[in-house]
Amino acid sequence: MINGTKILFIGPMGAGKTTAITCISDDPPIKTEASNSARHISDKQTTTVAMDFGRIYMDQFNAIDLYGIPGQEHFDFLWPILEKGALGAIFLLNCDTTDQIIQNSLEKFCNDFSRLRDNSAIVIALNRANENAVSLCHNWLRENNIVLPVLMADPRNRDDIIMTLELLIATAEVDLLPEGEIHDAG
Amino acid sequence: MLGENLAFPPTLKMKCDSVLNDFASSENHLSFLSLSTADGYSLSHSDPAHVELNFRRISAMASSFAGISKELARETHHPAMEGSIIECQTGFLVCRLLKTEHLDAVLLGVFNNESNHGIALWTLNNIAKSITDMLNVYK
Repeated sequence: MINGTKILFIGPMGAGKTTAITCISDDPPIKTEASNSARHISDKQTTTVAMDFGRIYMDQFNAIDLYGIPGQEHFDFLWPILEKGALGAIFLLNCDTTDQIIQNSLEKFCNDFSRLRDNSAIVIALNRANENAVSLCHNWLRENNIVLPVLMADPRNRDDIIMTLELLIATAEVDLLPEGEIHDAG
Repeated sequence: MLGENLAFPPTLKMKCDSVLNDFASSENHLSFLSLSTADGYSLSHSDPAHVELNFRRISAMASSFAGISKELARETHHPAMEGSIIECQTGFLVCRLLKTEHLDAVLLGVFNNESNHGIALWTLNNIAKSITDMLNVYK
């Protein structure tokens, strides 16, 4: 039996969650795609309506299970179901939009995944970002007293997503260690 | 939310509301009907008697259920999924995928315990045909 560590991919529609999971999964991912009727929000043909699932095998007995949420708000009934048992989340955000939409997304997803946020178990990965978007994100986090790592990542780039995943696991696992062990680990 | 679905005109919604209400009121074993886009936006529904329902949530859940069912069917080498059923002690919920020229949709029929599998499927197929025909001719 394989022991799976559960990692979530969160973020609004069009952020690149399905692309990122497809990019790094060792197995062909499970996708639940349907025709996208909200082309004015994100101009893509299909969108996730239930979940994505992929898996990275670490060895014979251990794997990382990758779950992608459906990003549209009317699917928020699924978010707590998918969040159960997750070690942490990669929060993908497409920055090719207005500052207001970026800030609204930060607020929405940081609040709706507050358990992970409070455990510092979220890494924010900015897609199509420039330095301004990174600053905007850092400023918003600082104003809201939230401490989370922020980096730029392309969901189509395996190295970017693997690096983000490694950062998330390192951050989340350090947070799970008792205080004495953190010093020992350091 | 219909307001978020720019492709579905109000006149078409009125026609769909009318068709769904006609079917729901003429079939004693049918509690209510809901029509949503394949990506979970509510398009139309019949007015259920004696109960308040959140059709925004029901539409999203119906499309998620249809999405999971479709993927499960594909995974087990049954690629052309048409519908799925939830059986309860108090009745059935039946989902059907509708593929039309302009729109992919999900039709949900909720049947009470006066119904059975055969009648529920036959009834929903008839409703699905009426709705599909209407959506196909609408420009």
